[in-house]
Order: sequence, then C-alpha cells, then structure tokens
Amino acid sequence: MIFGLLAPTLIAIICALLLLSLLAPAQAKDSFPIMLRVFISMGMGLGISSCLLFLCLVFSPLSKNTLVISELSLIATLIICLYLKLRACPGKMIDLRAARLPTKRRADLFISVSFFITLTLSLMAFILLVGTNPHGEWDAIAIWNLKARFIFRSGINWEMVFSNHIAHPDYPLLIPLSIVRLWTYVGKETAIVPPLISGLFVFGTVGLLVTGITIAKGRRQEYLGGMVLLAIPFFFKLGTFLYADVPYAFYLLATIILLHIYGRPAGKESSFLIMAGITASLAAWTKNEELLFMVAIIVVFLITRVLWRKPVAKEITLFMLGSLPVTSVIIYFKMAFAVENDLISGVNPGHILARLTDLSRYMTILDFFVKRIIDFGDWNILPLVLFVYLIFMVFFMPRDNYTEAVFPALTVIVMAAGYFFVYVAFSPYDLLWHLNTSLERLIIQLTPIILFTYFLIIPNTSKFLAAKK
Amino acid sequence: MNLYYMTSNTATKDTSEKVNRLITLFSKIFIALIIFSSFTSNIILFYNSAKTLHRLWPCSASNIVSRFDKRIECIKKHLPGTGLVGYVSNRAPMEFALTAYILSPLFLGVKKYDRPPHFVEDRSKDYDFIIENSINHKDIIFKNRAQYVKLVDCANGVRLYQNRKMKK
Repeated sequence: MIFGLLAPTLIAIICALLLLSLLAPAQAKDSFPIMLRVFISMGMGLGISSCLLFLCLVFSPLSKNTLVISELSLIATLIICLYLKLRACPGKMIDLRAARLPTKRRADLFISVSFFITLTLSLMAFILLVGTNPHGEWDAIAIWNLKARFIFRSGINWEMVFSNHIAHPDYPLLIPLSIVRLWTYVGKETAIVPPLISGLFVFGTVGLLVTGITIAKGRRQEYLGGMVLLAIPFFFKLGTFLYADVPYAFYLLATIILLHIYGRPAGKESSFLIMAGITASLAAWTKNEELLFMVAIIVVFLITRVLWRKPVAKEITLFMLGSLPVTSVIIYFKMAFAVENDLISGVNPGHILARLTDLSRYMTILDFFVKRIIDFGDWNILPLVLFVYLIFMVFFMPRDNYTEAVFPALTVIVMAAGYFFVYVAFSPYDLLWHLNTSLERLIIQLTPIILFTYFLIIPNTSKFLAAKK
Repeated sequence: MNLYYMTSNTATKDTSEKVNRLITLFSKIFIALIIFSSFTSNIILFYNSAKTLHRLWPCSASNIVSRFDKRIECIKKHLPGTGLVGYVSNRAPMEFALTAYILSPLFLGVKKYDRPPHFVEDRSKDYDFIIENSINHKDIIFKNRAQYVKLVDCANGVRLYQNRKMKK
C-alpha cells in the first residue's frame, strides 16, 4: 500500500523535475538550486499529472493501464528531450547539486535547530490531525473529496461530476484528480490519499518559502520565514484539512519565486518566465476565481516595465507561452464541461453598476477587513513583531531590497484590489456572509507571498550579528 | 543616506558603533520573538491535536465521516447506486455534505444547504426516494406529501421515504 502510494507520487515529482531540468538554463545551480526544483516539483508534478489524467478521462474510461502508459510516455519523452539538450550543449552539464551556501555560524545553527524543532512539532500535529480527521473538513468533504469519489466511483459516467447537484461544479479538477490518480494506482479508495496530498502542499509551501528566501537573501533569514509560516495555525489547519487555498498559495509562491529569479541580474533567462507561466496556470487549474492571478501578473509586468522603461511584450509572451498547455486544458474543461460560475452567473452590467455605486458595500468590506486583520488566524504576537521590526529597519535598509520586492509587493496589491472589486461588484450573496466565509482564506492564499516579500525587504539579520564581531 | 552602509567618512566611529549595536539588539529581539511565537504556536497546536489522540484507535470508527456513516447505515442498502434522491433536514448543513459524500455517486436534491434555514428539500421535484435527517427520532419534519411512504426508520432521526409510483 505504502509503495503503491509512494511510487505514483514519486513519478509525478520526477516528471516535473525532468521538465524543470529541461527548461532550466544549463548553468543555473546557484540561482535555481536542486532543493528549490524539488519543492516546485512537488506541486507541479501533481498539477501536471492531474491534467494528464483529465485528458485520459476525456478520451478513454478511467483505467490504471492508460494512466501508467501515458505517464511513462511523458517521462520517456522528457528524458529523450533532456538527453538531446545535454548532447547539444556537452560543455554545459545540468548541475543538480545544491547551490553552495555560506558556512554556518553558531547563531545560524541555533535558528536552524529551532526551525527543525518547529517543523517536527508541526509534522506530529499534522499526523494527529489527519489521523483523527482524514477526510478533511467542509470544503474537502463538500467539494474536493466528494468530486474525487464521484469520478472514481462513477466509471465511464464520471462526467456526472459536473451536475448542478454538486457544489461548485465549475471548479477545476487539480485536487480531485490528484486524489483519483492515486486511488487508481492503488486500485481502491483509501483515506490516506487526501492527507498525503495536503501534506505535500503544506510542507511543500514551507519548503518553497525557505528555499526561495535562501536564494534571495541567504542563510538565517530563510528559516525565520519558515517559522513564521508554521506559526500561523489557520494556514496549517486549512492545508491539513485539504482546503484548496493552500495548494493555490503554493502555486502563487512558486510563480513569484521563479519571477524573482528571472528579475535578478544573474537569472535573466527566459526559461524562468516559461516555468512561472506553468505554475501560474496550475494555480488557475486549482481554483476557479484564481484566473485573477494570471491577470495580476500581466498587470504587474506592464506596470513595472513601463515604470522602468523596459520592453514588456517578450516577457508577457513567454509567460503566456509557459501557461499555454495547462490553460488550453482549462479552456477545454470550461467549454466542454463546466457550468457557469456562481459569482458571474446572472450578472449583468446593470447589477455591476448598481453594486459599484453602493458605498455601503465598500464600507462593509473595509470595516470587516480591518476587524479581521487584527485577530486574523490566531496569529498571536507575530504581526506586531514583523510590523515593528520593519518600521525600525526602514532606515537601515539598502535600496536594492525595495527594488527586489517591487514585483511581489505589487502582485499582492493588485490581487487584493482584484478581490476587493469582486466582493464589491460581483458577489451575489449576502456580503457579510460572503466575507465571513472567504476573506480569511483569501488572505491565507497571499500570506506566503507576503512573507517572501517581507524577507526580501528586511536586511539579512546575520549581517548585523556578523558586523558586531 | 543608508545608515547601514554608513562609513567613517560620513559619521563618527562612535555613532556608527552605537547604531550597529542598536540594530544588533533589535535583530536579536526580532529573532527571539519569532522563535518564541513559533514555538508556542506549534506547541499549542500539537497539544490540541494530541487531545484527540484517543480517537485515533480504532481510526476507522473515530472520524466524523465514519460516525455519520453509521448514522445513515440502515438506509444505504435501500438506495440505488446512482441517480437523484431528495433530502430534507433540520440538522447542521454539514450533514448534507456528509450524506452526499457517503452516498456518492448518488446525488442529493436540495434547494440550498449552506445557510439557514436548513430545511433543504426541493419541493419542485418528484424524487423516487427522500431521505429525512431530523434532530431526533421523535421529530418528523417530512410531511404533506401523500405519494411518499415510509420505507425505513433508523430510530435516530434518519428515515427513508419511497415514492408510491416507484413502488408500484
């Protein structure tokens, strides 16, 4: 059973790892180390394999043989392409070693140990929580796992999953199909699969944040970022109980890190834009409303490039090119199967205009936001600590820190503005109820990017401690 | 001007040292607070999770889905594998999701279930079966439909009604 689950999980990760190695510039061991590739592959592998399973389902009934053949064919194709790439550039072997990091000092060791203790505690809490509640909570039972069961149990009638009798039949299928895929490999429904997938995303996001900050800022800072993320119980519980907000946050963070690498002087390789396009499109394959992220990235590209008077067309084209395969699957899914989205069905320009001119809606949202941000997610003292330190350090920060943080910070702002607009103009529900059930989760989606941006802005604390000596 | 990069050309050595000491102190406090809040947060999380430890054994009977599965066990064998059945309830909306989850790929017909009122039967449709899930075994909330006859009563508030037309 364990092998039956681990083997297909590894197949998915290896598949993504091969794709990343194929796309990565040949000499990118420092800007794109192996650990970052592995963490990105954890989510990318699940995303790509779910897309592949969707295509298999469209053309033939669900069967293990079809699945195995299609996945092995994809891996074989990627290996051949990688071989051809290596042969074409014999002098530029793809280096899979981790980037060499500075030697650890005692203080670094203390922070590393603290991080791993925190991680161990989280891991044990995760095992206990999924052990007592392996099916997850509301969203998992009412949407994601339910859809997985429908598809797996319905056989050739799997398209019934798009019936109006299931909540959100228009939601994309990354999570349900990831579960179905592992069930198909094992040959039966097992309650271990949803927690396995949630674990990959929860701890994958932590790993992604840690490695992302390492690349951007170096040692010490990265483990602090990981500890802050692990200290948010709401993030942890949402992820553990298979709410799609954490997988979505994973893809957002992966995209932002890849774009950050692209934005650095050493990383000016168009392949990072293609990789970012893939992860961004997988975010859109995770949750419906998240097509907003694709738009946000393009808007931020336009803003930053116009401000810095740089050409933008090539970058947007490459980003879109990367997103094309998964986006094509999403477009086909929307056109062939999905019914209308609950937020936009029945909406006309008159409704939108009436809502946009209703000032009370703006006040309700702002009021709710301010109240919730204060006690959000049982953060304890962390927001205050982060805020005070940022304010204090504003005077001592190199200007480069701000420049590097412009892109992710603007992305968060554009995304937040987009969510605000959706609440004001589109929400057909009672606004307070809608805010009450979704706002905290939207903030959680953006939290890893906010933390990444935060640790980009603040100077590396180890420099100060070193300076003292 | 960035104080961090302040050199002896732009300020006295003493001032620079004082600033550096202040930054170092603040950085140490910052790191200590992050470690402290992360530890406390995770210890609380672990403690709360550990409180549910007794429910781990036997795992299969302890989780919310398994418990609810037992609640509706007696009607399962009377229901078709697929199709659409009605659902009426005055219990928590989560139980609609649980019923649908356990009975899938059987669809449950409802008007709305995510907000109160939780009375969810869709009266515009004529179902072959209707599942009643009421607060207790005395509380009969499904009525006014002469064509339905009670097929099973689980004695815990869960009952299954069958359409007479279908029975024929």
